[in-house]
Amino acid sequence: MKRTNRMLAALLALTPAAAVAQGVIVAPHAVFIDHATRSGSITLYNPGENPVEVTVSFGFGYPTTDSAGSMSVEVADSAPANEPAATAWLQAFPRRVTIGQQERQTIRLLASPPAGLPDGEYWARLIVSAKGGQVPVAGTPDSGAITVGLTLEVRTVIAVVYRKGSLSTGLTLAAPSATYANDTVAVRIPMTRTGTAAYVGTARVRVLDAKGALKGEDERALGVYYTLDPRVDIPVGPLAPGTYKVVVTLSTDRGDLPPKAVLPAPPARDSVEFTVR
Amino acid sequence: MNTASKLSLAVLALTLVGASAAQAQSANITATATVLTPLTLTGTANLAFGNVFPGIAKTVAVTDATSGRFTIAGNPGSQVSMTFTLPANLTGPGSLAIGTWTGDHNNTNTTGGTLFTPSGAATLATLDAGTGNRFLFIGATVTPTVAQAAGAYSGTITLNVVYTGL
Amino acid sequence: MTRTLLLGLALLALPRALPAQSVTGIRNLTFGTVIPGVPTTVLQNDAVRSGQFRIAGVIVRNVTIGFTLPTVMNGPLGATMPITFLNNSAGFTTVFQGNTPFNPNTPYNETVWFNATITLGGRVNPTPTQRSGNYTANIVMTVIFL
Repeated sequence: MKRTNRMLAALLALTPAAAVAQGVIVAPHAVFIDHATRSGSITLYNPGENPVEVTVSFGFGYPTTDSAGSMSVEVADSAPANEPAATAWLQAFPRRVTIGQQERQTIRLLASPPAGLPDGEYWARLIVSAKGGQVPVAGTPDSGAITVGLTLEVRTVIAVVYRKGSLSTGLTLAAPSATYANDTVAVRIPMTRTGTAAYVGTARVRVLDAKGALKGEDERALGVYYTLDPRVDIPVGPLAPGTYKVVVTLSTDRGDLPPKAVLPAPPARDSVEFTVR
Repeated sequence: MNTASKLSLAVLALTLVGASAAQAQSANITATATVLTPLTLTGTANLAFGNVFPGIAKTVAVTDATSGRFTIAGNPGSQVSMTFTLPANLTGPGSLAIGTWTGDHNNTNTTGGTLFTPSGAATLATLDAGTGNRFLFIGATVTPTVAQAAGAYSGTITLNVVYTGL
Repeated sequence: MTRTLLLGLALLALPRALPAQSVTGIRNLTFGTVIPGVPTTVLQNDAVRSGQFRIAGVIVRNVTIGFTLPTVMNGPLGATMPITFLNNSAGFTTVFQGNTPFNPNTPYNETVWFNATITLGGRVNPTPTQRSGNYTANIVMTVIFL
């Protein structure tokens, strides 16, 4: 066994598992940049007891749904050519930093859009990767042993939205559907964005019985970039035979975002009935 | 009386002349703060297999004390999408196969929540409506060969988290 | 001796009629962006973020300075965030006296020479689930001219 391996094995064995907590707080959870200022910032904070190495990069992606209505946000290094992407002309400063224990660091985001950029909304994802400088726990320091451990890295991905000009958004809500099985009402909400910017809002779904009594509800944040058809599962317990109504309300209320970041749009509302036999 | 003393007396006189009944004046300012919505990811415990032996596979279950552990903290009630970047082999004196990944996520810091496969497609989770927390537990199996070289093997588990609502 | 001479010269330079004594709020106490679960402190000698008051229009006056301090800041949808002031969260500066920290939680007696600047820091302690948004609180400084 090489000397370096023996040393590493001994170090692995001596490192306590409980001391590895490493991570970073990223705030806010979305950045909105106006063409007039062309800059934004995020704050990173290391709440742990050890320094954290942080790297910042950009990618591209937005929420989509699959045929089953399951949400996902696939983030790629670069954007397809036809997408309104800001990925290529956003820069972060610094891009790599070590944040000491219980210290904060501001990351500046600067945009250098191409000349003649048309009015519109341009999207990117900011990826904040953090890992600690420690090695994992392992077994007894024995020169003949095989010791195994894996370290952890975390990547926080947040939306970056760049806006130029006067923008609008809205939503067309197609007919929702609802099915009841296993004490749960599964609601599909097909939506298509209108206007010139992504729709950022909230979907509220309520299940009512024939007398209007609330049987279950759900509230979910939405970002509709083009189309979305999410499935919302609402636990309602055993339902007696009868007719029930699902009421869907979409609005641009977002308590987690600053008001000026949310483009206003008229609320959309629809309902669907289902029967339990 | 020297000059300084004269001046002091002048000051005293002015003070007395200027003195009047106690009176109060007030002024206001405002304290301001802007609270940002954060997203916090923390790797709280590495996935540790300890000693393994050539030719004998070893599994760390999500319920084991040495499972890998993450914590997500964010906007209460929000849905997040979680994906993992996982190694197929660990590096050391040679290459050591790792696989059969298992996962469990829960709103409390205990297993017994929702089982998932970290090596699969994105996993959705809703942060606790009260605390905004979600706890993840990761297990796996390493399969050393009968001729596996002794030494320390390591790799990295990467957790990617993104809000689905923005 | 030097101080007295300076004072004498300053008195000679005084206009015949001083403006009325005044107490003015000059600058808000600004915590800026705050992360839930992470306390944020502004020092009273922070040149940008500390709150600032000014007492003016006197020659020499003994004063008692008192504050009406909030215990919470008010935010969106009725949310509140704790705010505290430590025993050195205020500072007093006048012509012949550099910044002197004092406790804003109790009345403070000082002598104002011509004018004085009072600075105020503080500490906010957001909970880990603190609702996002803007928070404000009113701070009142009352000066009793003795």
